[in-house]
Amino acid sequence: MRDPLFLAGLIMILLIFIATMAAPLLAPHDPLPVSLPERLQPAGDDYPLGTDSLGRCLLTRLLYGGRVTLQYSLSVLVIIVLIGVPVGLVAGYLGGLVDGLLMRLADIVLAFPNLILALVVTGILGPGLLNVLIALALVSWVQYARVVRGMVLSLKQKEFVLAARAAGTSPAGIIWDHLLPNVLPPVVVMATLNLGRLVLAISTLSFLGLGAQPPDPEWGAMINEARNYIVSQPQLMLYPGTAIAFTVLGFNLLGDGLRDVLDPQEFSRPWIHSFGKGGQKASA
Amino acid sequence: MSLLCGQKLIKNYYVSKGWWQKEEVQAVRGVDLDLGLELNHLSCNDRNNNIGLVGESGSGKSTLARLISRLEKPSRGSLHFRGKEISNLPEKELLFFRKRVQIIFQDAAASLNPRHSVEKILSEPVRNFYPEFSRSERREKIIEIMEQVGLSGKDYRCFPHEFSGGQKRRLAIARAVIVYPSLLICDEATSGLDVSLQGQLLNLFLELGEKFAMNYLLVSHDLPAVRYLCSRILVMYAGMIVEDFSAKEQHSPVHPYTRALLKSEPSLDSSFSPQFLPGEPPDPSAHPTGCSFHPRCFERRDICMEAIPELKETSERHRVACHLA
Repeated sequence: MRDPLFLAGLIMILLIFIATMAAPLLAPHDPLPVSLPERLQPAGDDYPLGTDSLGRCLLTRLLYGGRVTLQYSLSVLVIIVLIGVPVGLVAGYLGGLVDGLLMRLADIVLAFPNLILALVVTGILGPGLLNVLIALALVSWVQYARVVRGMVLSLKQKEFVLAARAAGTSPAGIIWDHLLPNVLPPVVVMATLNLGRLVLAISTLSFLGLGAQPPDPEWGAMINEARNYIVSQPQLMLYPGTAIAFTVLGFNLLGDGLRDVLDPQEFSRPWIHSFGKGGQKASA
Repeated sequence: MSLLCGQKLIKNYYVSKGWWQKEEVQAVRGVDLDLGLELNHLSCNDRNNNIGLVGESGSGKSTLARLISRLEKPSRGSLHFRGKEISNLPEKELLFFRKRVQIIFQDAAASLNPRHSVEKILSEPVRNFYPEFSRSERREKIIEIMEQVGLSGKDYRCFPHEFSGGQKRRLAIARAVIVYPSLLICDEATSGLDVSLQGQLLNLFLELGEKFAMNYLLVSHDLPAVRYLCSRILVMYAGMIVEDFSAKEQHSPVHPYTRALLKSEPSLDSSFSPQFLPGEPPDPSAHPTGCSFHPRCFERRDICMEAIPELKETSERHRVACHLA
């Protein structure tokens, strides 16, 4: 807990969460109604960050947009963890044909770059946030299945698992009682780091017009709408861009910090390796 | 009927070498063994039925222990438990066997899930084998067994890391004997402990064996421990049993390997200097032709390099796999 970067990450994420969840209370205006006479206003008393090209309060849209991004990132995360972890547990523990089939399926998904595949799936399903959610879930569960399967392969040779088998515990009982609790801490770290990437992916797809549809606010979509004013009104793009960067950075710091807390043997900071371990893991 | 009996047990592992090649590692190469009769509560156990399995590291004794406890499936061969073939049964049909044959491992700490309390660890076998027990009956049973293995029954809420190394071993023993098995396989269960702790554990084994009418299969490279507890000794070399003899006649083993093993045992007698066997056990992926011991044997003949000797009975309760016997 003395890790200042972890603390910074935690504070950043808490700030974002509070600000976006309390958007209806904090926001000075309504995010949707268009008011052309007030378009492209500079920051002032009425509009703390100014207005966009359709005269809507930028701060309001930022707060409401963050809600969408965070809600959908979290939903995708929950779905892929709920699919990926059980698949990895079952494939790793049972092995054989089940493992072969599930892992070949994973190979197929992994053969394509994540975002491209998500683009294709959204393209087929049609634009919309729900379809983006489905597409991202379809392409992202694989990493969890892979990582969990790898951990299970080594765990199932451990003596406490053998002892549980000797004690008559069924495969389902072993997976639930002995394997799941041991794979969860690394999965929590992975999930936190992954949230940052999901925020980026959702913003990217929205920027490309596949996610949030106008007039709904969303950070990626807001950057897209600001494209025409990049020279004259750069703040339209800067604010949502900064919000995305801030959130991703927060999740990454949080994830790194969690890794150090949950697995003290695995130091992730390069300057720690230069002592003690003699740079043996310098490339890692 | 014999409790547990294996015929021509073979276990191969495959190690991948590069992209396409697979190397076969033969860990157990055709073991025939009969662990003898099951005790009943009337015939008291005076270490007459305990069996020791000795051999160098890498001789396949741990693999054999895992095969006959059915934690591993044999690649070939058959395993009969009270006359019923069990080598291919799926896990859920093995319950009746697991209730009678239990195993404990060398690394007691690793065999206890660090996230489970003692109560949870010990109630796992009770839940599976006595599903009719209520929660309070289970707890009673746990406290009783903890006291029988020399732990304090009050500690059932503790976690494994709160116990010392010796206590963790007792905990592992408690989990195995809580279902009153007929056979307890101890895979190096006394190795790596200091001598007094080892002695305590061996005495605990004897005491529990008598109380519960339970036999041991002691897998070990610790000859004195095996001799203390067991009446019959199996010697393993390179995945095969080379000699099976009664510990009471232990000064008359025949196989050159057994003799070398006994001579290499250190002693407190200062005039005695242990004689070590030169050479190394064979690479399990490339066993020598003929008798696998021939490259290290002082008495080898031509036939030793050509034919694999069979394990044959030379006298009563004595089997040897050597051309010279």
